[in-house]
Parts: sequence; C-alpha cells; structure tokens
Amino acid sequence: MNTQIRSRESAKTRTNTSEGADLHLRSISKRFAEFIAVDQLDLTVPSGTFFALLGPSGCGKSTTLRMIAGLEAPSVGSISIGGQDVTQLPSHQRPVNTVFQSYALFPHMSVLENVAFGLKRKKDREAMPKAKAALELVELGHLATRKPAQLSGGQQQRVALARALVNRPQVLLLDEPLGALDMKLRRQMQLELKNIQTEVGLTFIHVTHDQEEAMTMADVVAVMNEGRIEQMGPPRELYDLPRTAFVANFLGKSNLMRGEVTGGEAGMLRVDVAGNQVLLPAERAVSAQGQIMVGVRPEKMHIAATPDAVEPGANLLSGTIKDASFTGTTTEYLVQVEGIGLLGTFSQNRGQQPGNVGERVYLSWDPVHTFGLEGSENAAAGVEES
Amino acid sequence: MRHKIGRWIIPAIGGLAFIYLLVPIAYIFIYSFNDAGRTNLEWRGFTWGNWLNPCGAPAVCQALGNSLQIGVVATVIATALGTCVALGLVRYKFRFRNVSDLLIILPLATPEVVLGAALLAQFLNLGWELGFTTIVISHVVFCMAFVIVTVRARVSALDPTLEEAAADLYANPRTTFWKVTFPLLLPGIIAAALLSFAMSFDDFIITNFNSGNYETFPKFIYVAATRGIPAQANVIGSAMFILALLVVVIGQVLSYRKRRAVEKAQ
Amino acid sequence: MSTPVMTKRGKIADLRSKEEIKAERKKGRTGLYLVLPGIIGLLLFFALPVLVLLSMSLYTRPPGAEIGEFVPSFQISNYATVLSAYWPELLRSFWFALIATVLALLIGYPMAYLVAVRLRNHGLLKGILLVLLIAPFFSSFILRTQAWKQILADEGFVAQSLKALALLPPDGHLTATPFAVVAGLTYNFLPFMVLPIYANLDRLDTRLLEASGDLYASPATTFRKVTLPLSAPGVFAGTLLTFIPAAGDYINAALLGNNRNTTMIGQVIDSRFFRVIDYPGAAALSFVLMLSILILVIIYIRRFGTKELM
Repeated sequence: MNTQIRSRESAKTRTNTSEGADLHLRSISKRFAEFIAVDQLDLTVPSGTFFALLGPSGCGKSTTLRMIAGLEAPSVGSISIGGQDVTQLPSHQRPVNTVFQSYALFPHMSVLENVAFGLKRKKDREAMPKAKAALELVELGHLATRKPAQLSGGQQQRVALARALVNRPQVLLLDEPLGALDMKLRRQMQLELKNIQTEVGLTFIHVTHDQEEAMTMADVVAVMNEGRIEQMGPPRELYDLPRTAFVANFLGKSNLMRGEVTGGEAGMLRVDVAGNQVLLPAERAVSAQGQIMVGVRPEKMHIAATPDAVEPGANLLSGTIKDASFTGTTTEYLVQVEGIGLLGTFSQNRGQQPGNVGERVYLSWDPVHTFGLEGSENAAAGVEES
Repeated sequence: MRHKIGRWIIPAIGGLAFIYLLVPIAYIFIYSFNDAGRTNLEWRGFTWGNWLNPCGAPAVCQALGNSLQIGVVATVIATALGTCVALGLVRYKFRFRNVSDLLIILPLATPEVVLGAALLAQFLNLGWELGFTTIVISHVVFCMAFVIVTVRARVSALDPTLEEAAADLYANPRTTFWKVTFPLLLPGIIAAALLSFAMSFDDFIITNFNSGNYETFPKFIYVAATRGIPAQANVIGSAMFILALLVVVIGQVLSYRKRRAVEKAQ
Repeated sequence: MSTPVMTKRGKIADLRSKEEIKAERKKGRTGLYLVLPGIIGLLLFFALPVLVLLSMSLYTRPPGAEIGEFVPSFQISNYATVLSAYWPELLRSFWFALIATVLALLIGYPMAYLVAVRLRNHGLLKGILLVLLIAPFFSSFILRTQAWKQILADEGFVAQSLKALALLPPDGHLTATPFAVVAGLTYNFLPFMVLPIYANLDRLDTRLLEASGDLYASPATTFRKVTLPLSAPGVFAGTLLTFIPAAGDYINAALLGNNRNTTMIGQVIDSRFFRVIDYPGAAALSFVLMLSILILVIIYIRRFGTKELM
C-alpha cells in the first residue's frame, strides 16, 4: 500500500497527492424510454471519502454508479473526476474501477491473470508482481493459479476487489459487492474494505440497499429514492435528523405522527398531535407552521407503567400495549395510542417489564430527539416490506 | 408391480434403440476387415490388408482427399461468416434484423433437394462450371446456417458484465473482444466448425447437384453402391466413426475433469 | 428525435442526449457490417437461386429445340403438367416422412429421456451413451444406409430368421420395399430427433417430477402432465428437423427401395434434372415441394405455438 503509482492512461490528469479524486455529478439524469431512472442528480464527493449510495432496489443507485463508471451514458448532465470532465470518455479511458455485484471474474483466466488484467492493458511492466502483491493483500496469494470457478463466493469477492484496487483508480466503485456473502463474512469484509479505504485514501463509492452496512462503513451516506437523493450527510446526522419520511423509515425505524403547530417559544415548537402536546426544537423541523409530521426513533422513547417517573418537560403519550415481542436482549412493544396509531418502542430486558398486552403504559422522550417533517408526507414511505 | 414394469420400459426401449443405432456401424466395421474383392457383399475372410492399405482401391483416396479439401475450405468460410453474423444478430440492433433472422433460418427449413436444385439453377444461369468452387459455395450456404444457430446460442448465453468488466479495466472494444469475448465463445465456435465439417463431408444431395464431374467421397460411395463398395471405403467410414468417437470422448473427459476440479476446490 | 416529454415529476426532459443517439447509431452500424457479408452471401446464393429456380420453372422448350435448350417464358402450365404426373410421389414423400418422423419420435424420445433424465447422475454411462448417440452421425450416412441394405438383404441373417419364424413369406424380401425405405429414413434422421429433445430434457428439473409424485401422481400421469408438456419445445424442434429433410430425401428410396411403389419426390427431381434434362419441370417440382413443406410447417407452427428453433 506504499507504492505511488503513476498511471499512464490516455486520459491525462493532474491528480493531487492524495490517491483519490473529487467526483462531481452535475444535473445527471438518465431515462430509459418512459422510465426516469435518475432525476437531476447533483453530487459532489470529496477525494478520499467513503461514500455510500443507499436506497431500495429500483431507486437508481446502480444506474448512477454505472454512469460514473462509463457503462451507461447520462441522458443529461456531466460528470467530472479530479477536475476533468469524463462525460464523453468511454469506460476504458476513465480512471475508475468497479467491483461488480456478480464479481464478473473472467472465467477463462486464472485468478492472477484476472487481477493483472487492468495493469496489462495500461502496459504496466510490473503488472504480474503488482498483481501478486494485491492478491497477498487480500490473503489469496496461494490461489493465484486457480480459475475463478474453483473459488468460493467470498474468495471470488476478494479477487474482484484486488482486481479493481491494484489499478489505484481515482475513484473505486462498489456495486453491492457484499450481497452474496453470508452474515459473518459480510461483517468481516465490511471492516476490511473500510480499512483498505482509509489506508490508501482512495475515493470509494459504495452502492447498497443495506442501511446498516452503509452506516457502518461510510463517511457520507446519500439516501436515494426514485432517482433522486432524498438526503445526504454523515450517517449519524442522517439518522438523528432525517428530513423526509422516506429517510426516517428507511434508515432504522421511526414513529411518525401528524399534527398541527400551535405555537412556539424559546426555540421550541409546540405541536398538537391528536390532543397531545409534543415539543420539538424549531431547528429540527422542516417547517415551523401549519401541518407537520413529528417523528421520534423507538430507542429514544421510554416506556413505563405509570407517569410518575417521567422527566419534567418530556413529551408524553399514553396508550395500551398491543404486542410485546421478546427478542432476547430487548422486548419490542407496539403501543396503540388513541388518535395516533401504533407506536413502536423497546425496553432492554433488565428486570421488571412495564406491562403486558392490554395494559396501559406511558411513553415519554426528550423533546430534543424529536424531528419534524413535511406535514403532507406519506408516513409509510420507505418502510421495509417484509 | 405395475410401477416396476413401468420403470424398466424406458431403459429397455432406450437401450434397444441405442443398439439399433449402432448395428450398421458395427456391420461397416466388421466388413472393413473382409478379404473381399471389389464387391464387399459376402464375408470371405478376415484380413488387416484393407486397414494397412486404405488407398488400395482406386479413386477412393482421391474422393476422400477432395471431400477433405472441400470440408476444410467450406468450414473455414462458413465458420468465419457465421460467427460474424451470430455476433451481429445478438449484439446489435439494426434495421434489417428481422429480415436477416428469417433469411438465416430458411436454408435450414429447405429440403436439400430444393436447395441443390436452386443452386444448380443459379450456377447454370451464371454459366459457371460445376466443380470445386460451386461445391464449396453450396456447402457454405447450408453450413453457415448451422454455425449461426450454434454460435448464436453461445453468444446469448455470454454474461454481458464480463465485457463491462473488461472495459472498466481499461480494455478498448477491440481488446475486449479478443481477450474476453472470443476466448469464451471459442468452444462454441469450435463445436460449430466441427459440425459444419461433418455436414460438409457427408453431404450428398446438394453436392450431387452442383459438382459436375468432381468426385467426392459420398458421391463415390453412392455410385459404387450399385457395383459394390470396396472394403477400403468401410475402412474410411469406420475410421471416421472412431475419430469422431475420440473427439467426443476427449471433449467429455476434459469437461468432466474441469467439473471435478471445480467441485474439489469448493 | 429529441421530442420534449413530460417526466413523472411534470418536468420537460429530452428523450436522449446527442451522444447517446450517436453511440446507438454507431453500434447499429457495426452490427450491420458484421452481418452484411454473410447476408449478402445468403442473398446471392440462397435467395437469388430460389428466385432463379422459380423463373426457370416457367421456361418452355420451343418446338424442335435440342434437349436441354430452354427459352425464358411464363409457362405456368408447367406446374400443372408436372403435378398431374407426379402428385403420387409427392404425397408418398410426405407420407413416408410423416411415418418416419413418428417412428423417430417413438424411438428417440425414450433414448433422450434415458440419457437426460434417468442417467443424469451417472456421469460415465451418460457420457458413453451420448458419445454413441453423436458419433454415428459423423460416419458416412450413405455407407450406413448401404449397410442396412446388406443387413436386410435376402441372404442375410435378418431376412433368413424372419422367414424361419414364418414372419416373412418364403419369397418375400425386406429390401426394395416401402418398409425398408421408411426404416432407412427413420434411422438416418433419428439423431435429428433425439438431440433437440435431449437438449430440452437435460434442463428438466427432476425435482418437479418428485413434486408431482409427492402430489399423488403415478409415474404415467407425471409423464403425461409434467414431463411431456415441458419437453414440448424439444419435441417440436425435433419433429421439424426430422420431417423437413426426410420429405426431400432420396438416398433411402434409391438404395432401399424399388422403382414401383417407393419413388420419392427427391428422386423424381433428380432424374428430371440429370436424366431427362427437363429443367423447368424439375424446377417446378422443387418449388412445389418447398412450398408445400413451408405451408405444412406454418400450419404446424400455428397449431402448436410459436417456438424458436434457435
């Protein structure tokens, strides 16, 4: 990981001393006949970032990735890498490499030849030694002469990674590369990928539909839905303060309730939700008047049998337990609150439970954890279909 | 009890059918060792002579040589043209694609008599002399159809992401084709070429219509059938069978070993 | 090309970028270049010849002309002449081809089933049988047909045994009969029937058969309701690949038949071309053969659904 490679691609670029490069997408749109896959995307990924494109299938994330790689041409817009406009450049002239979802290892070549492929195309005289070193890096040096079909899924994935990395691209694209791996291997590879990226300082663009994966690995996450980026930012920021119902539901879980803003003071908004008063900081609300949708994450709520222990100033709702699911570490509760609906929360199994099914309980939370969304939002947007 | 019988019907019929398939081959093989004169109709005695001297009967080897030459030339042309067509049809959209599709399948659907007659009519019309060239052209026409069908299946089955990966790894379209696409298509192309050669070598009807006085192996046998086929022809026929057997067996063994290597490693 | 279109979100957007259109056109052109040599070859040496054949079928022989001399003309009556003389042979060819196809199906389907389904897990045996299925195809079929002629000859083992078992009259023979011709046709085109069915059955998911049994179906019912319908495309392709060449074949009829009741249309066309030198008549017959096969095939395809042969 200590070699500084000067690439001799036909696209002459003045790369910075950092290995990765800035990526700019300007007003990118892609349509297939009647279907708009990507709708006016504007995106800047600073060099050296681990960037995740997160979204459900069909949201346009893979299409966006393919446009960056040059495998699809945008209908409208421009793409630039490291300051150079690459929109017109065909895929084989872009300083970009992809780790494909299906790995796409060449079945008729050995693992070593696969990894050396890109280097050989650039007439790199040290292609084979570098390929060998890359294989050692992913701990597959001993399988260099095997054919891809003779490797397990996890091994193939690592070969695909080595094959892309060895070229030191300015931007490395990963198209759901961990999808076919089992849980344990996935966790392992997530850590490894993150380590590699941090060490080398490349710009990684990781496409996935797994929100946990995105939040674990990425510096910046962009949540995509129906061809547009709904929200973008560091994982924690996205999680703590979603700006749309889709993001609120897609990243983790949320309890969303519709209400009317009745007033506000000292930087807090007062919202009437089915007769209950809910407070939230004005800066955490998308709009400060009229109909508004307030939300709070289940883990921020406290569930108790009586309202006695509730902190002063906390938001408070009351309802009956509709369902209690024991999951080992926690018990998940679904509480029916009059006029609002089912709210979910859970309590860690540390002794006495707040109540049984059918009993009345009290839900409370610190107003600072509340977020406010557009009142006209669909509360079910982004909810994971089982 | 009924089920038991039912279970054995298929293997029984199938087995008998295989034997039935091989009866003439066995006959040809046995009679290639016959110490016969010009007519190989009665068993006279065992001899290695025919095998040791396959060109003993006049004109046999000449006909064989002609057929081999025609086969090679026609195969090369048909395979090259056919592969290009197959690639073009699968990979690219162009205006006359549907018409081309139809034009390609028609030779397969035309009886050999009609094809032979049509080609003859054309050659007569053009005033061309019937011989090597006309035979090769006729063979290319029907061999190309088989090549296209075979290669096309292979091209369709090719994973497009592999070529995308090659481009992603800095290979321009030409390099991608020769380093990735072509090697992966090669087994299919070879199979198509072998099939094409076999069809060309064994063709009688179309050849008969368009060869004039040029002798080919099937023509020789057909004419000789009335007089008496020399045992050397049996030798050649058996040798072809054995050769084909070897080729297919080797192919099977190779793919078997490849599969075992994959299984073992996983 | 770039007509403005309303997008889902009510915005106006172009259909495609200029680069996309250019790239698509270029791709289309490459495809055309690849296909052109082959297609031109087929046009010159297939489409055109067929047209020449058609035109030749309308030539006349002016009175007093030498044998082989014809004049371009438009004598449609050639067709009437030739059909009225040879319609028995034409019908007989189709009849023989039909019987041969059915027999090939009855014999070939079990063969394909045996190798593709029953022996799926017996790699070695399956391999051997597959080899035995394909290899005869590569030895001269005239030799094989001739071999049958000698095997079935009056002095041969088969004929003698049948006579001994009184299955054949003492003065009967096996060769030079319609029976021999059809048997030859069946034999020669068997691989054409078996291979498509095999290719199809090879992909059959045997778990479906297990599921059928699990749902109370007997083996016979399973075959009827599951295997057979699923193998239909293979059967379809096999029957076409067998019937079409069989209808036009004349080697089997020439070697294994007689000149009384086994003449097939292929022989007639051959003789009219090379012995009688009646080009128009021969051409007309060829055309009639081709058209009738085409019509039969189209009816067959319509009746049993459009399946791709490729």
